[in-house]
Order: sequence, then C-alpha cells, then structure tokens
Amino acid sequence: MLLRYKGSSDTPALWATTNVPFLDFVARNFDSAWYLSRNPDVAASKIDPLKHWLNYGLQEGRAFSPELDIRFQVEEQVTDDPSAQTFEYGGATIVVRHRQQDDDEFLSFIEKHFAGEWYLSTNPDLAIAKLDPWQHWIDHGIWEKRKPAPWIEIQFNGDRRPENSHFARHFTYQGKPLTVRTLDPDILRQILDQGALEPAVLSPGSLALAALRQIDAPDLLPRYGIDTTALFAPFKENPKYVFIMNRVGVGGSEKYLSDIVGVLLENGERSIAIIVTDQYERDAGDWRSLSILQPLAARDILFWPDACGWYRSYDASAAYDSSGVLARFLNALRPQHIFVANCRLGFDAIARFGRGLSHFASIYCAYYCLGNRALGAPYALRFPAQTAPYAISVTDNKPVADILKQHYGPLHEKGIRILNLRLKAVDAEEFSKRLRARKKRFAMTSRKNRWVWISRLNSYQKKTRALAELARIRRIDQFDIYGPVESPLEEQGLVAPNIKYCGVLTDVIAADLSEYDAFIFTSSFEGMPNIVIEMTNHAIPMILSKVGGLGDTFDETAVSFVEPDENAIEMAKAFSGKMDFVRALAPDKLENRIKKMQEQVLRVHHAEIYKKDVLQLFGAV
Amino acid sequence: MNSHKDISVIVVFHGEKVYCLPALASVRSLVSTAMADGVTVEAIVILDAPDDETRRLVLSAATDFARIEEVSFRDLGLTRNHAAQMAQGHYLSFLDGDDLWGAQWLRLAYSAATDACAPLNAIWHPKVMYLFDESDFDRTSFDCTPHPNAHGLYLIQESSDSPSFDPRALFLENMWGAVAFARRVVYLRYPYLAVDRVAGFGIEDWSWNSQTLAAGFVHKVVEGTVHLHREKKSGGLGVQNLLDGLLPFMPEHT
Repeated sequence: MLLRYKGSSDTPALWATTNVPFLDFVARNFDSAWYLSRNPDVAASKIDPLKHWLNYGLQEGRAFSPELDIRFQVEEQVTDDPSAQTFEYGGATIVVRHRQQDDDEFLSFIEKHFAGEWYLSTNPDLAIAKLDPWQHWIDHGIWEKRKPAPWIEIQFNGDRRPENSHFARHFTYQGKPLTVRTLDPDILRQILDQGALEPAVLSPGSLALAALRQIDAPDLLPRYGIDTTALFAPFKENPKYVFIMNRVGVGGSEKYLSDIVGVLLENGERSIAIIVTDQYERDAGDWRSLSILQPLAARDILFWPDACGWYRSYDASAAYDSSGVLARFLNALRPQHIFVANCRLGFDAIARFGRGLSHFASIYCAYYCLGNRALGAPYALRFPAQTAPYAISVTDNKPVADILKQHYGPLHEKGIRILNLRLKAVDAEEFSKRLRARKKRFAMTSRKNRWVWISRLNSYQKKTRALAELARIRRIDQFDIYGPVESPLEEQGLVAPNIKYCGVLTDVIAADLSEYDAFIFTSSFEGMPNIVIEMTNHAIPMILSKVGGLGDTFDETAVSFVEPDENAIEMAKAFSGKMDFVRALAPDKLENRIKKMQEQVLRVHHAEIYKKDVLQLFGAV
Repeated sequence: MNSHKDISVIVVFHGEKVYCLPALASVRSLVSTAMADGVTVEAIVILDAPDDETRRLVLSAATDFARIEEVSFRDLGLTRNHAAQMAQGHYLSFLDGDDLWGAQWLRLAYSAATDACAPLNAIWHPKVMYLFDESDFDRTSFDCTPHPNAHGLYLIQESSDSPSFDPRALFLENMWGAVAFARRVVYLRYPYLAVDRVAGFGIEDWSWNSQTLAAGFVHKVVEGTVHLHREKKSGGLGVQNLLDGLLPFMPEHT
C-alpha cells in the first residue's frame, strides 16, 4: 500500500498487514510542519519527521498533531471515551483520541496552577534529562500519578462529589473522570494567621501546609474500606436478634448457633439477622445447601468483610477501629438480643462497648472450651473476664461452666448458662432397626474387627497419632476413618495398610455404619463434641476419650472412657484395652450398654429439652 | 440599653492548661473580625471544674471578656446547656478551650445564617477542620512538600443536604466537629445530653448532631471557614471517650 501524508514526499516501505490501518490513519493525519515546529531536535536532525515519529516519537509520547492525542494503551488508561479509536501496531494497542473541550479545560486549569520548578525539584530525573516539566507532566506525569504542584492533588475516580469551587473540581480528561483538589487560599491565610498565636499550627512546615492531605468527612469511612450502603443493605428491618459468628460452614460452633436459630424460628421469631465477621460471601460457597445451617439460610445476613474489608487491627488507637464500628453498627440496629460465638471481632466489641450495648440488648457470649491447649482458647481465656460484666456466658458443657464460675464468678453479673447440644435423633423405629443390625453383627463370633473413627483429621486436637499407633498394635483389625483432612495423612502417621480413609460423611446420621464394632473417638481436648452426640443414633458401642462434657452426659455403664494421654503409645494401649473389653462383651450386654447410652443422651440432649433451654435463655418462656 | 447581641460565642475550659492562651487569643481575633463587620458579639468564658493552672491562666488572660463564669458540672454538654441559658446572643457558637479558629468563622457563619435564602432549620459548621498535631515539629518540612508521615490534615466537612451525604454514616462516625453555630433557641430546645459513663453513652457533639439531624435540621457548612483542631495523644475528650467505650446516644434516647 502506498501512503501519502501531509507535507512529506517520502514513501514508506512495505507494512505488516496488521499495522496497515494504523499507518493509514497516521498518513492521513500526520502534520509534518507542526511536528517539526514542536520538536526542534527532529528539525535539526534532518530526519524525515514521519519516520522519526514512527521510530521514536510514538515511543516518547510526542504528538504529531494539535488535534490528536496518540498513546500506547496501558491498563489504567482504559476508558469509555466514545471518541477514542484503537489500532493494533507492532503488537501493541494504540489509542487515538481527538482532543476535546473537556481536555482543554482540565489542562488549562492545571497549567494555571502548575509549579514547574517544584516539579523538577521533586523529580530530579527530569531535570537531569533537561525535559520540559509541563510537557513531561501532560505526557507522562499525570499517568504516573505525579503531582503537578504541591497544593494540587488529582484523584482518578468515578465518584463525583458535588462541585466545590475551592477544594474539589471535577474534570473529564481523555474520557476519564478526575477530581482536582486544591486548598482555598483564604483558608490557608487564616491558618497561617493563627500560627502567630499557636506555633504548633505550623508544625508540619508553613510552606508545606497547602499540600497536607485532604479528606472529605463523608470519606472517613470509605477510606478505611467501610461501605455504609453495603453494611445496611442486608437488613430489611431492625432485627430483634443478631447472631455474630466468624464464618458459615461445617463446624461445631456454626451448628450450635444454627440450632438456636432453628428453635427461635420454630417459636415464631422471624426478626433474626446474622453477621459473619471472618469470611467474604464468595468464600462461604454454597453454605445455604448445608443441612445443619438451614435455619440460617433465609435470614438477613451480612458478611462483614464485604462491607468493611478485612479487619486489620483491634487496637483502639489504630486508625481503623473495627470493633468500634461493629459496636456502633449494633447501636444503630438496636437488637434486643446479641449472641456472639467463636468470633474475635464480636468479643472485642462486647468487651469494649458492652456497657452501652447491654443497655438495650441482652448479650450472650458462647465459650466452648477453656484451657491453654484448646482450639480457640485465646478467646475463651481472654474474653470471659471482659465480657462477663455485660454478657451471659453461655457454654455447651459443665466443665467450662465450672471453670468460668471458679475464675470469674463475681464478674458474671448476668450469669453463666449451660445450653447443651441438641440431638437430632432418628425415630424409635429407625433406632430399633439399627440396633437389630448391630445385634446381628454381635452374633457373628468369628467376624473381623472393624472400627470407625469420625472427626476432623488433625494430630494436635484429635490425637490421630494415637489412632495410628492403635492401628499398628492391632494389625489384624480394620480402621475406617472419616472426616476433613487438616494435614496430610502421612504426616499424621495414618499410613498403615489396615487404615482406610473413607472421605467426609456429608450426613453422619443417615450414613450406614452397621458394619462396625464400635465408634472410636480419640481426642485430647473438647468442649462438647457434636460427633459423639450424633453417633448415638447409630446404636453403636462407643470408646471415647474422656474430654469436655462427655462425662456429664454418659457414664461407664453406657460407654467406655479412656483418659487422654500426651503419650500416643500409652493412649493407644488404653484404647486397645477398652476395645478388647467391648469385643469380649456378650451381645446382650452390648445391647444393654447401647440402650443406656441412648437413654443418657436423650436425658440431656433431647430436642424438646433443648428447645425449652433455648427459650428460657432468651427469656421467651 | 438593649443587651441582646447577634452572637454569643462561648468557650469552655476545664483542664487545657497552657493551651488556653492561644485559644483565648484566637477567640479575640474571631470576635474582633465579626465586630468589624458590624456584628455584635458577646464573648463568654466558662470554666467547668478547672484545674488550678487552667483557672489561673484563663483568669489572667481573659480579663477583657464579657463574662467569665466558673461551674462544676464536670460535663461538657451540661456546661454548654448552662451557657445557652445565660447567653444573650440570638445565635450561639460553642468553642473548645484547646482549639483555634480561622478569624472569619463567626463573621461568615453569621452572614450565612442570616442570608435571606438560608434555611431556618440550619445548623452551621466550618467547611474545613484542620487537624494539627504539635508532634509534627518532629516531621516538619522546609519546602512545599509535607513530610510523608505528617499527621496534620484537612477534613473537608459536607452539608447534610448534599446529594452524596448518607445520613446512615452518622451511625458509624461523627460527620461534623465540635464547632457549631445555630440560633440560641435550637440549643435550648435540643440541649446536649450529659455523658452517662455508667450506661456507656456519651460523645456530646456526635449525639447532638444525630439528634438534631433526626429532628429535621440541616447541617450546613460555611465556605471560607476553618476550625483548627488540636490532636492530642492523651487527655483529649475523644481519646477518653474511646477508652471508656462510649457509644453515641441515638435519637430515640431523647
């Protein structure tokens, strides 16, 4: 293709096909005379201006026409400017814009305030290269976020606050909305005058005063990532109940809260909201499909990080006071009940602002487990003393209630309450069916021993080292293990050929576990383990670490207990002894133990008892 | 002689010590600027349970003030309410005894409030809060560029009738500082609430702003005005409120 362009007689070489549209456009619009007049170095070099522009000028951001602005497209400059044309050239994208009145207004305003000397002094690289500061700023500096003057700040944003002649002016430049902030000279003069009365006014430096940061008061919250609209959006009304939890998903604490909400819903309470503090909604996945969380699924729910960002500090002196914002938010919602479980942000808000919050709401803080080694122990060790003056301490087991009473009894003006776990029990017919299946197995005298272990697979709490040792010393037995794997099974020593990892049981209660001789639960510490309560539905003998509140629900006539031991080998030996004991029992003795186990679990965890306890806790009966 | 004034400007001290001196000088410049424009101003100093040093300094430096009164409410809000009762100005402006104010504040606030187009239900605030921190002497600059870690900053306040103002933000953060200018009857009808540390509520300016906004008042800013607010690491009311875990009163408290 032959190109002709204004003022040049040169004929370009052959062009790559993809470059043709751009080169054609350049050829039609290139203004040689204007280019040479603006670039004396090019004129002096006697190089053909078009060749110079294509070889150097384009790269250097030099313009070849007063009407056109031509640049390589970079991500931050992508715009919706309808006047922009794009071309492919040399593998890059070139954006061509026709200079518009908007651009001229912006450049004219900035040029009027441009501090050339200051620009050079703060950008010494330009001074060394002897570049024209204004030209550099409009070609590069603006996109590199360099300030054109100390008292001017340019913000690229789409958020157009109302025009203010002195502080914020809004422009559109190359199709992008910009806010230019300056300081009213009258304000500056008044401040300088006050400096004569109080020198500290001038402490940042009198010359630097004009360039200090400016913050719009309504931006105080957004600048810390707090989106007021998103914060209030999930709440259709001021809720009567607010439950604050760290996450939604499969977990004991989540189920605990969900069961409570379930009872309130059954009792006709509908004004219930959930605040999730440590999880973005996108990370919660399809939590609404989890059967244990069904009561929460239809509630108003706020994922705190989606509205307020990830909280960074609980330090009261920190710029962003997360727990303070949560407390003020609760102060605005004015619920009658605030329930906090397993949630640092929530506990911190109650500890600091519980005095005021308890003025209009009954507050409940759930502590499941106490002890230095316990998961979540820092919460349960640290916060009860701080929340006790304002909140009822709620727990799912008696040992924790006893410790709370012993340590912080006098602080608990509102009391300590045990709210036991709720057993979702299979009906009597199903239980009888399962017991019959179990008895059938007991009657098989020459059967191979098969044991089932279900829990989270971690060596720290669940003592899986003892389980591994157990498999080692009982080589001919089969161990089937279920549950989420929290560290590689190899690292936990769970590699013996008689151990079979069977995955996660999505519904423990519905699973068929009739082919096992007993449920094995190794653990070093617990509050009240849900899995044990659920497993009673399977009419199965149980061999359990004696942890948390298990000893308050069951006795040794119903289950076999093993004292937890730091030494995995010793603990495995103890478990093995109990397994021999169970295996040696006659079928009718085993049946009796199972019936006692059912009787004992229902005595404490029956759904009707639980319902009554929940309603009493909230003063609803 | 008619003793009524256009404005009563009331500055409250309790334990500001040496900071009271620049504050008093600043009030003097406020008053003289307004009076030079023909506005009559009554300047009142209230000492609320002051410490000895603050009392001595204020009494020695405020001899030219119209009224100096000592009270013992030990509460900023109750002190202001008391001052509102005794003030004779048609408009009132309360000032805290450790701050300073651009000299145009009273003059321009009065001008804005008495403008024929001004809404009757308006409460006025300075457009700019300059938050200064004398520890910036350790981060001072000798040219036009502030030290990157300078604490000093400008807070640009916004009117509540601005389209971008979200009143729910006031639940989470106070949107206007302590300096306000309104008709005296507004302060009488909507007195400040006393801090209730036992119940855990207080923060008088924030609570008053919420209360009056909920009552239908519009909080407007006065162009060309600045409140110079001293940031303090300790001893400041804001810091104390935070340490005490105070929440602002919500409008239904009143």
